[in-house]
Amino acid sequence: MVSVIFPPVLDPATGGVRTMDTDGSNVSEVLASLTVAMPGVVHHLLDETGALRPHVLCFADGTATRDLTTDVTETLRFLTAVSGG
Amino acid sequence: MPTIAVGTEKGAFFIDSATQKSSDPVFPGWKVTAFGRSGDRYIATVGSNWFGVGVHHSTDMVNWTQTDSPPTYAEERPLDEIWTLHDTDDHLFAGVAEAGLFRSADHGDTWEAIPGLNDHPTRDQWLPGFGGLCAHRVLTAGDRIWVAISAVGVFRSDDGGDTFDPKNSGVTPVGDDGDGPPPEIGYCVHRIVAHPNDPDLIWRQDHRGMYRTRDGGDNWEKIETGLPSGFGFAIVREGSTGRLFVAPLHSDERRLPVNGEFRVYRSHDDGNSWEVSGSGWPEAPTHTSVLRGAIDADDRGHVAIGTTSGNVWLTSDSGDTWTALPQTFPRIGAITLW
Repeated sequence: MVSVIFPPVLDPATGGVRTMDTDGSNVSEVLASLTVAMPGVVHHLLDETGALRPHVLCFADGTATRDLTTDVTETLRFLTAVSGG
Repeated sequence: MPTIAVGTEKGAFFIDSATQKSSDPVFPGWKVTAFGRSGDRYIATVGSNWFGVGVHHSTDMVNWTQTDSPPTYAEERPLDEIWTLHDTDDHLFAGVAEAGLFRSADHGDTWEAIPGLNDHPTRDQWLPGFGGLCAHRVLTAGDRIWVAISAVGVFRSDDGGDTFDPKNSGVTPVGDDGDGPPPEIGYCVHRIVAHPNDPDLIWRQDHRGMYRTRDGGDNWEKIETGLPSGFGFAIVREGSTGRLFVAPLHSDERRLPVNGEFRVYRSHDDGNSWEVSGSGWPEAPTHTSVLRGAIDADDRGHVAIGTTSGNVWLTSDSGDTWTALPQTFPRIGAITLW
């Protein structure tokens, strides 16, 4: 079980849910599970090519990654990058 | 008295125009790009530099739910923003950036792309304006659909969206050098608005001036008598009087009111002539502007505009007197009267 942790700014998309437990052993698999559990959320994290959106940060078990094949066992946290206004 | 829906760079705000009280920010931190109605739903669209687009609906303007499936291109073409919503009896249309048209038959829950426009034969020649390559305005009348795209021009479909043709004859193109025949595309339309009972009568605030067509876009004529400048973004028609309202700016280069005189102009005669709309305007220099989506009118004398400096101006007597509401918001890109 992996806990996906969302930033507060995603409240309008998640309905205020900040943490969602899902299945999967890497980032891509967790996001696939999240697509089923919260179908309106994943498109905010991935762009039209299926890659992580440029200004979204992803931490798999506390380590920053942009590789969707990265293994994850406990937490997958998304944050907004310190960019933009 | 209407509710004024205000879409800003950092959230939506809903103002009771009778009390001038505003809601707290809705979708805080999100750019709110457009509002619409479909069925019993109020609809708001959001766009984020971080998280992309979203479509939200509500029946009370307080409790909002995001749909699961916003408009998305099937191919790897970015869809960065929903610029406009337009409702008909059968469909809710969305104009988007990168420029394209989508429609929904279920009040915004799901969307289908309109390939007649999105894959138009001229698409590889489309170039963006300063605001991006965006389809920012949709009009309909029966099987006819007009779509305004910056900086490409107005397209019209006569077959319900199967095919579209550019309709810009008489308009000066963006890169006009005075030589050669007018190009098929390359026109920077800023906003179009149609007469509700004569849909072929359309007014056009364009990058290169103010225009009008009486034949659905086959031919356009310039109509700028009385305006301090032909440049601007916003135009709207108030229903009870038929008056037109525009917010002129000095020029493409400056994008500020002429001489710092922030004024809305109106026309009583379908655009033949223009004058300053009534009273209430600031005497002090006011260097702000009104973007294309930040204007709306109803058919009861109300016209509201929002400025890039975050103020909302309202008239309730078809432009005879104007009042600045007390709030200051983030930069305003969308205004709708509900």
